[in-house]
Amino acid sequence: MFNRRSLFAALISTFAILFHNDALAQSVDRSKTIKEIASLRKELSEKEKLFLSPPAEDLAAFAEFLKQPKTGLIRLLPRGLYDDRLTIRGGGAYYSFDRLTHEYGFGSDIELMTPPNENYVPPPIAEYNFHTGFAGADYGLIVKLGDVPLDKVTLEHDGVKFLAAYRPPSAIHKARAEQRRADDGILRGQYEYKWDAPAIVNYTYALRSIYYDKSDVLVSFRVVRKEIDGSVVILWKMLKRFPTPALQR
Amino acid sequence: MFNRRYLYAALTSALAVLLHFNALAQSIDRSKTIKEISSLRKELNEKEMLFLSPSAEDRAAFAEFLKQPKTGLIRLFPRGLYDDRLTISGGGAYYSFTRLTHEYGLGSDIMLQTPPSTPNDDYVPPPIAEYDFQTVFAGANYGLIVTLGDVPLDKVTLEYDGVKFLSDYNPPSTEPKARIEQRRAREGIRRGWRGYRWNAPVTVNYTYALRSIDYRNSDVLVSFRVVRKEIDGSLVILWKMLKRFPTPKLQR
Repeated sequence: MFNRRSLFAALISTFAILFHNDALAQSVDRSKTIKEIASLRKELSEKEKLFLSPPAEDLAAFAEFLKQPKTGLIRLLPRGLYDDRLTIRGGGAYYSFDRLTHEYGFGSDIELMTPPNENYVPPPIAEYNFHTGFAGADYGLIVKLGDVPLDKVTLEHDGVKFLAAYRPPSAIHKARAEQRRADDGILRGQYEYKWDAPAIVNYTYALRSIYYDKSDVLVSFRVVRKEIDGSVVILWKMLKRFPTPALQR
Repeated sequence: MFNRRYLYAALTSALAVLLHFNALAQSIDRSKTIKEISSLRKELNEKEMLFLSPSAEDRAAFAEFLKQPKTGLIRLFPRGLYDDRLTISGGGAYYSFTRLTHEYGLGSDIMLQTPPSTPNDDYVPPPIAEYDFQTVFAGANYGLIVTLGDVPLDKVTLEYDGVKFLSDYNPPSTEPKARIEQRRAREGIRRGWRGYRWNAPVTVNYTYALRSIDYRNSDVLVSFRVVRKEIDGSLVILWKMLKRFPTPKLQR
């Protein structure tokens, strides 16, 4: 009886040790896997940042301009072309001049749009469009200023004055009406202010982006080049940051 | 004058060639980078699949059961705990028994929830007592879960006492009625001593049945059992599809 009890206890202890070791090994394995995932994600994020960054050549060419505060040089990828090849939300097609990120979903000011394309073949530049205003009552207005050096675009520029003086409404129904006006386009003299504009290399634009409860910015930007991979390099300058607009619902 | 023209032409050509080579080099670099990104994503995807898959030990233990059609063994993570550590949408907290994927956003049948107050910044899994299975509400979709207790999964059939109500259940085809059913699911429906609700507390070694109604996509009755809770907070779940109903339609 004593021997049987001892044998039983020994067997139970052995099993307990074996199972414990197995569980421990599994847990160590899984903890190793999650560390490897973290490391891969970091590496991937760095590669994506590199892929989204503008060419060193352009950074050098605009070094003087970029010394000014609230300026930047970015790359935008056409929407849909890289969505399933990059992990960044929005596939590099969006940018927030307020948050300085391509990440979509937390408020973006601009989007580079092209017709749907599943072959990873960049469409011709003639099919590229800039869009603004993406959610809720938020909206924006873009104006095409033509081949004007970015340095010459100030708040007093003819095409910018309307955007600088523009006051976004605070009532939701009025904001919706303004959204519709932005859809149709607003004509002021020789300039048209719309929610979208065709992208043209060496053209300069001004954008007023109204993001209720978050930001309201006036930015000028210039299309520096279109690359073989379909991306567009954009030089930009923040002209004015307005008080955050509030929306009465 | 002649020489000047030649010099100008030569300089322009040299510049054009240089710029062309520069553009070409840049394009090759970028094409290399996107290939590296693609390769990293593939590797990451494989690692995530490994992390989401149940252990070989569990697969071996349930090998006989898993030989049956429409069965599976999955791992679920509590919502929020791995959201920012995994690239899969939903962080491994959702599962679709029809599409057989954890990917959230295209229709899921179940979600593993922990209380919103549970701090998850430190990646500390909460105790099992705080885990909840939830059916996924989107639009007019809803589901009902019943806790069957410590019953072997093999014993749970369409005729099983707690399953019959779910098996006989007819989802409505109009939106107002579907909304009423959603509210009933939230409040809970009592049949005898069983309660059918949109959620159920998680208990290891307990078996559950779930009717998940996803209008225009699927309508399934699944039984599942919590095999274990792991140190990292994940649950290993053995499941069996009891019935696949005709896809429900919704008249709006």
